Amino acid sequence: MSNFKNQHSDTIRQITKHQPAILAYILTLHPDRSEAQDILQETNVVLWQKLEDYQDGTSFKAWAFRIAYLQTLAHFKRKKRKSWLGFSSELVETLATEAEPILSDLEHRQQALQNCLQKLADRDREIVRSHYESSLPLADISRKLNRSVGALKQVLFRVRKSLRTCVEQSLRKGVTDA
Amino acid sequence: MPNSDSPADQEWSELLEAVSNRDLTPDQSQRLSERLTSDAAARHAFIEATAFDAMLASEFPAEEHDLSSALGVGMDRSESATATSANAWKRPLVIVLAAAASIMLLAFALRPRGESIVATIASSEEAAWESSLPTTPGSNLERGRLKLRSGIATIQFVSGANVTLEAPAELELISAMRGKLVEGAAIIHVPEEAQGFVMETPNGYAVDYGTQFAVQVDRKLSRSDFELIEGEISVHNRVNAQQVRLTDPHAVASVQQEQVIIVDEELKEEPEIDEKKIVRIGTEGQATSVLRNNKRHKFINPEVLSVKTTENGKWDYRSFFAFDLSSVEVDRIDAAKLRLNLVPSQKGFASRLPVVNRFGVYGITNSSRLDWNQDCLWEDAPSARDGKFLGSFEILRSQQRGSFGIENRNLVEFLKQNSGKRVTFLLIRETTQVDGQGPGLTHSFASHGHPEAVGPLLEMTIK
Repeated sequence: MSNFKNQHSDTIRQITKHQPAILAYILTLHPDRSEAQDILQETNVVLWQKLEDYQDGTSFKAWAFRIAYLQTLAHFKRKKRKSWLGFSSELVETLATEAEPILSDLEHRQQALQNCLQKLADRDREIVRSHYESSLPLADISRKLNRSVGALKQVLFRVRKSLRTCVEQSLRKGVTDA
Repeated sequence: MPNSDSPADQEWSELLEAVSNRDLTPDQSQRLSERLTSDAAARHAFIEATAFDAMLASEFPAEEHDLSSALGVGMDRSESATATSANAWKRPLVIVLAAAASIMLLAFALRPRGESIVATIASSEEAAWESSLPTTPGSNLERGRLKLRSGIATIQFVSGANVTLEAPAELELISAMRGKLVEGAAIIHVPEEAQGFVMETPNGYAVDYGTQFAVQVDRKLSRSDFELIEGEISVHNRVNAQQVRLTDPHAVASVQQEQVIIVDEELKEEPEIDEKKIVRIGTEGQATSVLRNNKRHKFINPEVLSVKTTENGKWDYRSFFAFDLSSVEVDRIDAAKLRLNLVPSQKGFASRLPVVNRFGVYGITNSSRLDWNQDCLWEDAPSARDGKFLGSFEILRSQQRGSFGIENRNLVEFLKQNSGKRVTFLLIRETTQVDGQGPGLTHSFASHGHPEAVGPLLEMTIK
């Protein structure tokens, strides 16, 4: 029983640690953030249920990605459509395979991103927050923040670009406190 | 990270921006799909971009994604307030481990705001609802709670899972693949495409791997019983993640406190006989209403207890009634319920009421107001100032019948403090009406002399 308990908390740790990577993986296959969150939830449940299928020593993340892939396909099946963007099933499979290595070092990037976000101007960070924390369309956010949609798009473009540059630079310098 | 901006042409940048901004047009979707299919570098850049979006989305969890509030567990406010991006992602980990909560809660906490349809009402047999969700057959249901007062109703989840509820029952719709039976009994049918459907209860949950099972929740005993009818289910204890798998038809697993027990059928057949008994007492005619203008003969119908509150107060009614506790072993009361039966009102328009009407029940403590008589005046009758608030209940304006009331510790305590005495309860409507020309509805509850419905009842469980 104690063994089970250890495995239990270890699994929670693993699942929690890999949430951004699993979400990223699902988003690659189905780039709709709101539905991707749903699929992530379902994936978490399955990861938990199928705990006994996971073999120690193998990559937890690879196993989680596999389950996320199957859950995404199941989601498409339920919604009776191929995918939000009309991706063919071959394309979804190709993306699933190619995403895995690219998402391998996401934890370091996430750390770097946290530091980079601190450097943003408050006003910019609020816009990024408004866009990423809800599934509201830009038009709604534009009304809420009293900015034009065009202006929001410009800010988001600029901020995403500078954040990506910042993340790449800090990874090159190895400046993360991970 | 090489390649991240190639292929660096204008159209491609716009496509990626549109993905991140979530405003792709159908034409753009088509183009994106084409380019991804034919171009490996494009795929790489696309994966990089969506990964970046995922990281950003993870840094800004919506409120509902906040684990601490979902779990309601120990984190002091200052920590919560400063939980900015730097520790937003570490926080769930700490709390999950501290709470040793199951991943089901994690999953729940990470749900996005649901605006979509979760289920529909497939059929209803004499069903009376108490719900803020629509309740006519065919209605689409979003996330929320349904309370079935009487009758039987079938809820069809979008996933295909089908839940037949038997009143009294309360069901929470969480997602297409997840429901929670808060109270009562239900039979769940899960077709192949909805395998993995989860039915939660207050202390456990079952995952269905196909076909049929039944659930019964007894909140008082904090116990949920899951009976497999056909197929396979796993039953889990929410507190300690203990689980059992049922594969034999008619196997029953019971989730109670710290354990999941497979119940022996022989034992199960025996009804729950224990030392508890239920005692019900009525008002024996000690019940009446008062109205502000005191024109009793014209407006007070002795068959009903009238309750109404308006902004200007001119046509307000309140009601009060008494029970004699001298024959009850009050010291041994374990639980108590005050039951009132709503009957159709002859006065006023329900459309002038708010959708949800709330009623308050008070236990009268002011000794000078305990000797009221049936004909007393508004000014002399017990009021909220003369008592202690015990609890409230809600009635939808569309409801004309049904059993309502309160059941809580306040009521038990109040009864215990008045052992052997006559106790008076006051009933008032806390919500008002939309003022205007037409009169709003006066709510009527059956009184002692009502020809069809039973008057106020005090139901006590004696140990």
